[in-house]
Amino acid sequence: MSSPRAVETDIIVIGGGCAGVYAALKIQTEGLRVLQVVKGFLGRSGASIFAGNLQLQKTKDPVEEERFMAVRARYGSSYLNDPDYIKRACRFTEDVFFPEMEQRGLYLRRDAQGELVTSADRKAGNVWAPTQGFSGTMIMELLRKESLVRGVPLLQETMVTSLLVQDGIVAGVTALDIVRGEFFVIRAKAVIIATGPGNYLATRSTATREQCGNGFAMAYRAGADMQDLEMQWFHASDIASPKSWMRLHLYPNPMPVTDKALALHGADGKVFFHLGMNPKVKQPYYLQMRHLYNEVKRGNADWHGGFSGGFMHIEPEIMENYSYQTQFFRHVGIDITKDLVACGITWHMTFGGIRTDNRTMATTIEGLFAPGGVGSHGVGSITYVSYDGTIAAEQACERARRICLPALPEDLAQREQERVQGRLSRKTGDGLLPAQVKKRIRAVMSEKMGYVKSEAKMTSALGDLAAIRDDLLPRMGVGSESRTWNYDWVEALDAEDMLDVCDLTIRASLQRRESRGYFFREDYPYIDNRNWLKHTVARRSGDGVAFEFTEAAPIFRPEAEIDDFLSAEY
Amino acid sequence: MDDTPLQATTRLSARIFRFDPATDTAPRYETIEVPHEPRMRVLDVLDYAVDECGLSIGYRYFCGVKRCGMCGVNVNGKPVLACWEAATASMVIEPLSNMPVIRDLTVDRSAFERATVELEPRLVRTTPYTSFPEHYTHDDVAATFPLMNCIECYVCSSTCPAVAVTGPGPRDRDGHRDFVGPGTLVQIAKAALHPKDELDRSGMLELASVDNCMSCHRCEEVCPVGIPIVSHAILPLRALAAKGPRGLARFPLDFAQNVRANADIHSASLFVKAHGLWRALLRLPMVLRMLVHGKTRMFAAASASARQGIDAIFRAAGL
Repeated sequence: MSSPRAVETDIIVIGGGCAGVYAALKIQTEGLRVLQVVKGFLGRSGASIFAGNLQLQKTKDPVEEERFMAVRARYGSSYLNDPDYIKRACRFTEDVFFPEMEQRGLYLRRDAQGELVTSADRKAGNVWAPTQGFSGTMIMELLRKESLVRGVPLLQETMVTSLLVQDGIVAGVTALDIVRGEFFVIRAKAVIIATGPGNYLATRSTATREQCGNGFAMAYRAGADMQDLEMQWFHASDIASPKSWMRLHLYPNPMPVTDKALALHGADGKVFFHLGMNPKVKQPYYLQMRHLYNEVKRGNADWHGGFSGGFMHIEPEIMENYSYQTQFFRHVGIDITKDLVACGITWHMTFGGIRTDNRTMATTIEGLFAPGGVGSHGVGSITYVSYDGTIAAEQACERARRICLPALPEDLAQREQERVQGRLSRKTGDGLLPAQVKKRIRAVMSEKMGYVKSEAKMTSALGDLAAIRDDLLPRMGVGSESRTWNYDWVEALDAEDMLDVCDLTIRASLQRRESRGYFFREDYPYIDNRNWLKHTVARRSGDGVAFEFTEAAPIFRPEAEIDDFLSAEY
Repeated sequence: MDDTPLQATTRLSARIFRFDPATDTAPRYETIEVPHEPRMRVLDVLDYAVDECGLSIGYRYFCGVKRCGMCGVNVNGKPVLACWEAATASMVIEPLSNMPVIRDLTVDRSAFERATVELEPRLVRTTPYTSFPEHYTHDDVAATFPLMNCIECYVCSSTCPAVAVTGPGPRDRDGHRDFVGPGTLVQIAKAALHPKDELDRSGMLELASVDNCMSCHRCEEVCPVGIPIVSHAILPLRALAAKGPRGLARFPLDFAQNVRANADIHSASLFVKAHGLWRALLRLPMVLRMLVHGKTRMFAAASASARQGIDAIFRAAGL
C-alpha cells in the first residue's frame, strides 16, 4: 500500500453547498488556512442546487416576526426546533445573505415596476431567483464563481471517508481523490462538516446521486451524538416518470403572483387535495401526505404512482413565466393545460442529524462543527444555512487561533486506509457491483420505511439490512481495480455508510412511540405532546447504539396534549 | 431510424464507449439491450447498464434534472445532456468532444472552467452597493434573462468548431489565448451584461479571442436549455470588446478583409481562411449544414454599390 498524501491546514470544510461555501469564504476572509473537500463539484452537486422557494422574512416588525416564528415552530419542525435559532437565522438572511447575494448579481424576480414578485397574499415571504424551482442553482453558481475566483483551496471529486477523532477531539480527516485514486490524510485544528440534509437512501429520493449518508455515517462512527434521525420529510408530488427525473418537484405552494396551487388527483381523476381546501393552513406538505394516505387506504392511489398533480386551473402564462419545471413537462409531451402529471412519493431531507448547539454549530466532538442540513438544528432553507456556515467558521477560526495542530492518530489513519483500499477488490462469480447493493438497500427502505411505519415493518427492515450486510457485502466488489475515476470504489464505500445510517434511522424511529409532522407510526397514530416534545439522541455504545431523550425548546407549545395525528389541525 | 415511435415493449440497443487510460491502450465499445420504459432518458439507459447489466461504466451526474450540468455525452454524434435526451432505438453513447477522457464517459472539463475563472465571471461594481432590494425592473435584465438558465454544462463548447481548432488552452507569452468557447463566454456575458456591472472588460475579451466565433450557431443547436448564445452572449461581448484597443485577437483582420471584399460577412470563405483548405474540407458536413440552414452562401451576393460603400467606410477609417 502506497503511503498516503499528507496535507495540513487550519480548518477543513467538508461539502460544497451553501453552508460549506459560506464557511470557507469566511475562513479565507479571516486570514486562516482552509481546505474545502467536495465529493461532487463545488456548487454543482448536493442539496443546495435544489432550493426552490426562498424565504424573505421581514424581521424588522416584532409582531410579524413573532407570528412567523410561531408558524415556523409548528409547521417547520412540529415543535422540535428552537424558534430562537430560526429568529437569528432569519435576521442574518435579511441583513446579510440577501444583500450579499444581490451584490454578487443574484436576480430575484421583479415585475415591470421593479417590485419583488411573491405569492398573491405577500404573506408567505417567498421570492424566486429567477423562477420557482431554480433559485438554488443560481445562488450556488454565483457562490461557486466567487469561491473559485478567490482561490479558496479546494479538492473536488474527493470523498472524505472518515473523521480522525482521538479522545473526543478531531484532528483531521481521511479522503479519497476520485479522479486519481489517491488517499489523503489531512490534518487540521478544526473540521466543519456540511454534507447536507438529504440522503439518497430510498429508491426515490430528492437527494443527489453522491449524497449517501456519508456525513452522518462518519460522524456517528467517530462518536458524535445524532439527533432526531427519524424525522424524515417526504414529498408527495415529485414526477413519477422518467425514473431519472424523480427529483423534479411539483410545488404544492402557491405559484408566484397567484394564490393558486397544485391540485392532487386520485386514480379516479378527482381532486383529493389542494392548498386552498384549508384556508387557515399555509404549509401544504404535511397535509398532502395525510390526504394521500387516505387515498392509498381506499385504493384510489399508490405510494409509488397511481395519483397525479394537475395545474389545469392555473393560467398557462403563470406556469410559463414563473416555473422552471414547465419546460420538463413540455419536453416529454405533457400539456399541463389539460394533462395530469403522474407522481410518486420521495424521501426528502432529514430534519435531524449530527447533534449541534445552534448558537455555535458545535457537535459533541471537540473541534467538529456541523452547519446546514447535516446538523440537527435546521429546518432546511438555503438562506438559513448561510448563517450556519458563517457562525461555524467564526467558532472554528477562534479555535484554530487558540490551539496547536492536534497529534495525528496514525493508527486510525492507517486502519482507514486499509479499509478504503480493501473496498477496491474485484467482484467474483456471483458477486454484485456496489451500485447493485445500494439499489437493494434503497428498495428495503422504500418498502418498509416509507411514510407509514410500524414496529413490525421496521423490525423486518432491520432484518433485511442485516441480511444485506452479512450476505451481499462480503460478495460485493468493483468491476475493475483501476484507481482512475473508479465510481464502483466510491459506491462500495457508500454502501457501507448507507447500511449504518439506514440501520440507525430505523432504530431511532422505533424509539419514538408517537406520530408527529411527517413521522407517522400506524401503531401510534397520535401526537403525544405530553411525553414526546423530546429529541431522540443516538450515540455509539460498543457495537450497538444507546438512546437518550432531551426536552425540546419550550418557547411555543401546542395546545392539545394528545391529538389524533390524521385529523389534527396543521 | 432513431426517432421511430417507441412502444413499451421495444428493446433499445446502446453501444457504450469504454476507456480507462490506466489500463486500456485503445477505447472499446460494449453493447447492451435495454427494455424501453415510457419517457426513458439516456441517463436511465446508463443506470440500467450498471444496475441491471452489471457493467461498471464511469459516467458523471449528480441531479438528473438539468441543474448540475455534469451528464454531458455524445449520443449518435450529437452532444446532449443524458438526463434531458430521450432514449432511442439505437444509441451510440460516447464522451463529449474537445475534452480529455478521464474514464469511459467522464471527461475533464477543467480547461474550460479555468478559462472562465481567469476571465472574471463575477459582477464587478465600482459604485458602492446601497441596500437590498436594489431598484431595477424585469425589463432591465431582460437581455440577460435567457443566460440565467445556463448550467455550465459546456456541451456547447464540446462541439464548437473554433474550439476544436484552437482550444481553450493556456495563454501564450503575449498573454493571448485561443478561443475560450461559447460556454465560457456565456459565463462572462452573465456578469458583463448585468445592469449593475461596471468593469471595463474590453481587454479581457480580446484576450478571450471573442472574435474567433464564426457565428455557425452550432452551440445554439445543441444548448440543452435553449440559450440564444450567439445573439445574447457572443455578439454583445464583441460589442464590448470593440470598445477596447484593437488587434490583440487572432482573426479580426481576416474578418475585416472578408467584410471589405464581400460587403458582407461571407462565412464560407472566412471559414476556409481560418481553418485552411484541408481542415475546412474535413468539416464539409458542417459547411453543408450551414448552407442548408441559410447561415452562409456559396458566393458573396452584395451589389457593386454596396461594395463601394463598404470600401469607402474602410478608407475613411484609415484601413
